[in-house]
Amino acid sequence: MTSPLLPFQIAAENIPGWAAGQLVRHGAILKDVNTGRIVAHLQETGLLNQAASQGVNMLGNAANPIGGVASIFTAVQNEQIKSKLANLESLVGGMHTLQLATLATSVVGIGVTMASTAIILNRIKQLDETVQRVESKVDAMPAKWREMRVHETLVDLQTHLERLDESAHRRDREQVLGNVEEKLDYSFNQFADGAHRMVGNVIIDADQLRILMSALSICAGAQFKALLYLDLKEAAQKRATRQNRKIEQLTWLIPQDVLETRLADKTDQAQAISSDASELRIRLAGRPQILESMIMSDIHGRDYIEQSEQETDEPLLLLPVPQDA
Amino acid sequence: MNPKSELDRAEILDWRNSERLELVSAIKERIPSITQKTDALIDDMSAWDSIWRSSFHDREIAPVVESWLVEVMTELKHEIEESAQISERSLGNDATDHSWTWGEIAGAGAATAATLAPLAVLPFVASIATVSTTSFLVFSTSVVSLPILAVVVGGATIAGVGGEKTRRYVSSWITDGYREQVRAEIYNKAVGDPVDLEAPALCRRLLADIDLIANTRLEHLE
Repeated sequence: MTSPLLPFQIAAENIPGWAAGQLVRHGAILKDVNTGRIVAHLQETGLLNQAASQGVNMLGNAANPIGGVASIFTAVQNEQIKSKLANLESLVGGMHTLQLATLATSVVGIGVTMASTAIILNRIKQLDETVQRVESKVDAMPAKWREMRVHETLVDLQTHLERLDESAHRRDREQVLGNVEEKLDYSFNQFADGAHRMVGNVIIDADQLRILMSALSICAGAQFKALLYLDLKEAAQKRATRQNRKIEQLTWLIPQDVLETRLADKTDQAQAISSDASELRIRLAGRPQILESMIMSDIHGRDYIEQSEQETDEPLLLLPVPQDA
Repeated sequence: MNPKSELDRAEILDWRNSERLELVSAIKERIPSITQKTDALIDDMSAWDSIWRSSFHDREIAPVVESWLVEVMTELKHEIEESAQISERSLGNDATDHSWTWGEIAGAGAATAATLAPLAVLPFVASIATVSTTSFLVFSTSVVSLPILAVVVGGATIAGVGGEKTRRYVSSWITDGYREQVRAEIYNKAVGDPVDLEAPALCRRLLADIDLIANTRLEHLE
């Protein structure tokens, strides 16, 4: 089978509307502003993973509690990678904010996450440190927060991700992947339920909310990847749609104007959380569409992931949407 | 399942978020224009009006504020509807096909969409135009009252008890207090009483309408 994914720089120029500047990026999709039609999907690659790994190694845990490093550009030492990222930023950055500079720190990515297990585990570790900081600074944590047992659920999440990583080296790979995706779904639901109950409070703690949103993003990304490895595309579509509804219900309760009035002493964070929520929504919302394109083009989920991971020349690949999709 | 509708839903939620933010900011920005007017009216208030402030309030202040509230509401409602139509078109949909127009939301039927129909046709606006006593836009004396003792003592002082200096002091005290009350109440009617989260206000009413439009658009995708 020919490669379904094309190097972004070459492919983009051949997309109708690209030259005229009528394409906008929404999460991992490119859309024609005139027709509203989705023309292609963007997919991050192993190169971005390399850059993110460098960033994490360079700055360790010293940066913000949720994301990790402040900017790929400030952390990446490899000039060749830096130049490729800068080139991509100039190509698509002006089209619509791609925020490549903060990609490694974001709670979201572009397309199916290519972040290595090490990077994700690093993020979970940072989340857990924030959990401990949050719990130690408040004498009487709300009962709802205690009931969530966030630390324990993060440890479970860590275990599931380690097993996902390990599955590549096991004969019973499919069984392991099946177990992992099921457990990740439980974790997602636990975090979603906890977040939903927490935003019902009159006063919301910004750190707690960001921890839960990051955990939701990690759970959703990892189980989507597991389902793709298993090539369970239709099941992944259903799962993605169900999760989208939960994220929708959660974020419906906390538009930015509401957050500004309910974040205790941290109103400046309302915009950042709202922006994260929007990116999370749009990224997760793109999953059923990307699966539809894969189904129509008969692309195996594992091939898709492996090609993306193995790509280390281009930071982004592009999957054109079939005409009748 | 229509995979594209998932993306449309995410964009509708983004629209709702930014529309709510813009609304709150737009209303707050407009408040100084009305408080300047009410401040000027209160500055020109006669000694007689200070004593019979209730009558002054209903005659001079309330109509100006109520008319401002209706004007701002009408303008912002139109802006919200236009924005919703633009947002709908950006999804590749024909906005006129959808049932989220004001007319529909107000229960008046699609034929009476706000952009086409006279304002009075819309029940939502018509109820304000008649300004019933239960309307949240009423700005009568009851919403700005000084303690009765202050009015009695202040009124008596202005009316003749005490010297000129004392009279000016008391008059200024009453006027300043009244001005602040009017300002605070304008804020509460326009943006919402921060202490009473359930109290009706223009902003809260329009936020609910934005939510209704967003929700109707989401339902349309199901």
